[in-house]
Amino acid sequence: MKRSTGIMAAVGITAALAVSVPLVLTAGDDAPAAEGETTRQKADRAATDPATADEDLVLSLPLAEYSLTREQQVVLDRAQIKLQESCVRRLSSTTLPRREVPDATAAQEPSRRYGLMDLDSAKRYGYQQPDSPAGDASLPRPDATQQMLLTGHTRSGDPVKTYKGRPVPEGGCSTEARSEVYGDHDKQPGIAAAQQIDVEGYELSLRDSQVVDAFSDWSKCMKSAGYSYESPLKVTDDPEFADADYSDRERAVAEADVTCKLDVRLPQTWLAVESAIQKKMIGQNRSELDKLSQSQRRMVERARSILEKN
Amino acid sequence: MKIARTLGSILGTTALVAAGSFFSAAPASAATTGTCYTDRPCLLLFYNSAYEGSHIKIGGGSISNLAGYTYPYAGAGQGQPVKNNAASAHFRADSSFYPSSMTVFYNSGYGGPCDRFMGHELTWKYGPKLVRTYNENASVKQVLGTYQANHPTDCFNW
Repeated sequence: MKRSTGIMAAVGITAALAVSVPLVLTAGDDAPAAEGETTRQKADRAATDPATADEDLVLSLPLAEYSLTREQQVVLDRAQIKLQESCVRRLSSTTLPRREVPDATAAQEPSRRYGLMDLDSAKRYGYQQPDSPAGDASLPRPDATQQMLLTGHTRSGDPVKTYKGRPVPEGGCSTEARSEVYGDHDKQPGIAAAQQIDVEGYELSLRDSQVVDAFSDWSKCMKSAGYSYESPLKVTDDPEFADADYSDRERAVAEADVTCKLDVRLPQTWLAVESAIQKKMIGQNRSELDKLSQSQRRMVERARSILEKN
Repeated sequence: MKIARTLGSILGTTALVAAGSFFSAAPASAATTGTCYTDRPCLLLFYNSAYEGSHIKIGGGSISNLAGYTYPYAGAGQGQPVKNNAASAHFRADSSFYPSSMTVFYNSGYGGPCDRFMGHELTWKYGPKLVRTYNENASVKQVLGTYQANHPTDCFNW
């Protein structure tokens, strides 16, 4: 539920609906094309008609069309686990403890690309995001031999070349499994192009007059709530909120911050501006990005066929 | 690196003895620097590209604003602020079977574009040049004990 609380609050759709709305599959996923629009179309719609936005802001950006969806990532994770299991079995005749990869519908904190947008989180934790506790002892663990085979090295870091006369893949079963699923995907030039668009588009959006104006409106809104900050980027820089502890004041400021962002429609403005910038940059890198999408599709297909094999 | 890994192992073992649990080496919430623990992912941020110069070791927990942290070790950048002043990174996963990650964010409060490092079972990942947060590293988020699909999606998965 937390995943979409921020934008839900912004657009007046109930949180209950957010729970039932799965992440939208992007083009490149194997969802039937007729079932929905592309992420790019969604970005247009989310930016121009935020009342119907039903997903995390980051996922509405045009660049998201070229990134792996959570659904795809689950398939990739599961395929790698299956290959790791068969590799460890092949080398040691033992069975790895079972790992479950939850479906992609698990709740996620909404993205903070445009700053904190989740009113509930602001009220509870201010600008902090409490960490999960260290190492959950209830999670299954491989034994020492299995761990060595998975990583391809001993606990002291020495590489393991063979085990009981059988060759251990370089980097262990984990590396072998990843290579089998990912192939040479990591070498796709589109990855660097996408990363560049990600950061340069964002930086350009910060200088856009509409975003600058929205920051100014936000600042006025904060002033009327009794807080003096130049922009939403400055408020998280306040040394008073640097500590992991969250005071009543931090929570109050964060609540006012989120309320003002939503009041001045900052997320909608920023998303529209950055979407336009990204579209332009995507157009200039279309060929590499299309190849990236093709590579992702091949990779996910490979993962699916691994999972289908007995 | 090897030193850090060994140190992590030693600390993990110490915790086993001291606390009666292998999983309680790191403090409960606050971030710690200077030590890597086996039950927590660990991020080393370097002042220069290609792991040159001084570095800081973020060994336990997230930091929503790196203001106030300085590079402690000898080398270029020693004593200078870490915030918006890092060029490269080493990441060491925790000892878990499940992926752990540390994500470097452009803005304080885990905002803006980000670079995510992820692995499992004490494996190392290397970022010779931070791609989206080069000299724009304002906060660091730790996630552990869950699958890649459930780690923050803010940075996109390509």
